[in-house]
Amino acid sequence: MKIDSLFPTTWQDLNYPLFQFGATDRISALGDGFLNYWLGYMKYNKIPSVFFTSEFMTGTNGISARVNNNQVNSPVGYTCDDYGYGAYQYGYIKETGFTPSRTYNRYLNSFAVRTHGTAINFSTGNEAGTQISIILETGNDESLGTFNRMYLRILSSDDMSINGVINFLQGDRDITFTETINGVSIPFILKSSDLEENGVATYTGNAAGLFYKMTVFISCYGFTPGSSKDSQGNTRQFHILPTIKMYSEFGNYYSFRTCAVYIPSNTRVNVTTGEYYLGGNTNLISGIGMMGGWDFNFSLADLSALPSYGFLISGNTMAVSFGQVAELYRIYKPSDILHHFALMMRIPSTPIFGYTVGVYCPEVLDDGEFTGNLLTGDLTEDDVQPWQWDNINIDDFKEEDVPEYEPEPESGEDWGGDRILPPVISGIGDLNGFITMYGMKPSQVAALGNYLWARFTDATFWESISAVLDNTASIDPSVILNYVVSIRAYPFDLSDVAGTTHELPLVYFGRGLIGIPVEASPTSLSLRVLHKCVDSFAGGDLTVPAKYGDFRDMEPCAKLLLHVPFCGSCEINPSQVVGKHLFLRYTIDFATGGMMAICYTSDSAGEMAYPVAELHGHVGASVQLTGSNELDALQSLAGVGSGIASLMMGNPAGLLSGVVGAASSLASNRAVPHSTGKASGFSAYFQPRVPYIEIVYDQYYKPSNYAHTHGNACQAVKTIGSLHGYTVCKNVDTSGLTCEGDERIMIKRIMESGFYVD
Amino acid sequence: MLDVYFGICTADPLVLNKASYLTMQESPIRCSVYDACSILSPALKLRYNAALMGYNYFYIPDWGRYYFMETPELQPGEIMMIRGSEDYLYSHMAEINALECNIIRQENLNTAADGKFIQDNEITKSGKSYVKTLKFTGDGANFFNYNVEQKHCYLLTIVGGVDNTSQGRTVTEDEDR
Repeated sequence: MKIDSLFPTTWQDLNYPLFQFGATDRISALGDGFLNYWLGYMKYNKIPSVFFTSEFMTGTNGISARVNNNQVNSPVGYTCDDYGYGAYQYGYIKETGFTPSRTYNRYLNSFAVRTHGTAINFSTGNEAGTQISIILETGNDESLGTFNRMYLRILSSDDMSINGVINFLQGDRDITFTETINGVSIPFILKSSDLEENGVATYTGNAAGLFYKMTVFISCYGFTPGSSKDSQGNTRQFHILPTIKMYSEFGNYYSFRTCAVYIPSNTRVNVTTGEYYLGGNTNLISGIGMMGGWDFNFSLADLSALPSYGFLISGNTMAVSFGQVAELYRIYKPSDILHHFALMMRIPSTPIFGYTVGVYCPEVLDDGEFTGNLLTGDLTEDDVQPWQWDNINIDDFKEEDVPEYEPEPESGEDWGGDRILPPVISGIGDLNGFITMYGMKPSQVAALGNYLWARFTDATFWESISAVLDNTASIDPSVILNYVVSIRAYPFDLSDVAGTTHELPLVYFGRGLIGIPVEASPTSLSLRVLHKCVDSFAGGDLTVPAKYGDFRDMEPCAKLLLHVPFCGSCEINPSQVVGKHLFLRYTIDFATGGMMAICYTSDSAGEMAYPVAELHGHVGASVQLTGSNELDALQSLAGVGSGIASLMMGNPAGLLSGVVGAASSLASNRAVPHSTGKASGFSAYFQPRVPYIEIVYDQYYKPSNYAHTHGNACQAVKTIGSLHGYTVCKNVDTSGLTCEGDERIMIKRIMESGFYVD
Repeated sequence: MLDVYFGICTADPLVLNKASYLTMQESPIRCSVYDACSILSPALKLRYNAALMGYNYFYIPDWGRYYFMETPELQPGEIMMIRGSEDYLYSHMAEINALECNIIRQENLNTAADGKFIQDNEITKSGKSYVKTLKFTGDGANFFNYNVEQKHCYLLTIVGGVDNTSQGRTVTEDEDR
């Protein structure tokens, strides 16, 4: 941020103290390094004299002046009073020029009384924008000195002017300030991290006359007006701020308590014109939200945002000293509700001195520039510029923020004809006695494997059977496992599969001849036996929303992708389904582990009616049972028993072998974005398990006045007199007009290029 | 000589019905035709009248037409020359209002029947998209979203096996599993 932009564009002559630094009591600064007290930019036509003085200045160990950040070899500085008059002999200003600042360590003003101080006189060039600063330098643990109410006084000349003054501090290390109030020393630390170069931010640590500038501001809403009376019984208006957190760009933050907002005294509002007049001094009395000294009469409108960065802090000083008001923007007319202020906040790291905060209303010049108006001295209304309101509007063109659109019922049917629904046919998939399907828990599958392999040996089939029957002899599990078609895991409880199941205590191989217990107590009824090897299930439903309610919800402006677990993705034309319901139906073939998902859309009654997508996948993850080739996930019943030799021990749920296809070739014929292949095995189980759709809408820049300047695209036959607003016609038939030929041509041309009916 | 009514028009030239934008003088000013001209672009001559400096529109009732007034020209002898160009729309407003036309863009027509779903290529498209993800809900939406821990999630298929209808006991849905 450029400092220049904050200054008034008109030059000002200043004859009295421009700033004050310090509280009514003394402040001493102890630290190491330098403190560059910027004064700002000056412009001269002549060689001026600048005096830096203070009411109390004792032990000022290092004060020097810099021009454009360079120390100057300046002529004489001398001790004088705060008006620059009456040089006293106390002090050690050299006549021959300006010496390096360290020399000034020896320059003491031990006779610091109210009206005396040390002045430094130095010259500047004639360059506009010359930067003047006062350096307060210290050595290690040296005291900067004690000073109070440091003034910068410029001897005015007719041709000299100063382009505003900013007093802020810039330092390279922490400096501890000790404020003495009523004999009590209260320290606070001015951290170098709070300071920025180039005068962008400063921290002036003291509630009295210094300010802290944040680079981030939190909007503050809902001012609560209030009032109180001062000691004279005058009513003071103030507004309460909520507690807000202020963050600095360095990551630390301060929490500010709720405190009062007030307008500096001498601020007036012209009730006739509504203009605000900035006041000058604040003269606070102790307490929060209290003001003393001057009457003022105004009220703030409800504030909705405070985008200001600058702050002012006033203490119980006679004058408010502050530096810049930072970026302010978008000031609206009073009829709008946005006011922009520099918010003055209490510094939380310091004890509460009873200072409150106020609000500084900036001055906006005619050309829209802002100025940080300095409030010093006893200004009158004549000295203060009235507050100009700016009428900069926010952008008219911005990305349209369209709320969710509730689709209207359309006249006419987008989908017509017969409903195409899944069949309801009984008998399909009924198990026939050639195979048996057991629904088992993982622990039961493991128990089966353990039982078979616990006594592994190379035995014949009948030896193995005998061993099972008498539970003593060895068996060859591979013989028994030849009767196993498959073990597949499903991501749901098979107990819930449609089709009546009943419980059995044992896994029976053969026609009930061999029953292998899979529970500790073989009599417990814990297995499920399926009666059907295929069944169909509901998969949920949803309503496809419309974002815009017009062509932008359709292809090619929008795309819709359907994702179904274990089946992958496919595109659906959003034009077909926007505003309608989608229904999913699954069909699972338990014999193969394959599945099919069909998505239906609804008719005008919202009932499931028409298929729009069909996906195929594989949901049963096979468990490898033998050491031979991997089981083909799509193996049919005809492949029973082939290649099955072993069942691995342990928890079968941990097995990751087998082939499970996430999408069949049918699904892969469709567009399957976001997918690079098919998940296999149990890895497919880690896809999202809930079906969902993705709708991608193009976004548009549609200004608020689009319809008025462009019109909406349409195709309608209307009488011109029935219309209002912007209209474009096509191939106008001007029959009926009694005008001249040239006029007819012009009318036709205007109507076909665009005109406003009224 | 013509009676010409002067006035002020604040409407855009492309507005058809300018009635509410017109403030016409009640009394006409006598003018003559300056030179040979058409009724579409008249050139009028009249005595210098400073009030005309504030007007931008005029009406010639003899011709039944309205005109946009151009900047007056001053000539020696206190003569002013006024040129105008016909306001084709307002001059023939009544007849134009009666025309039935095919409308392809309109400020207020925005229903489905009018063409809400016609692709409008004049809207500026952003480089950004808006993506909305919606889950299926209702019966069966979580069919696969199931914690199968200690559930009957494994299916063991065995050749042969039991007589499914005669052994064991039938489990009804109401039983606690």
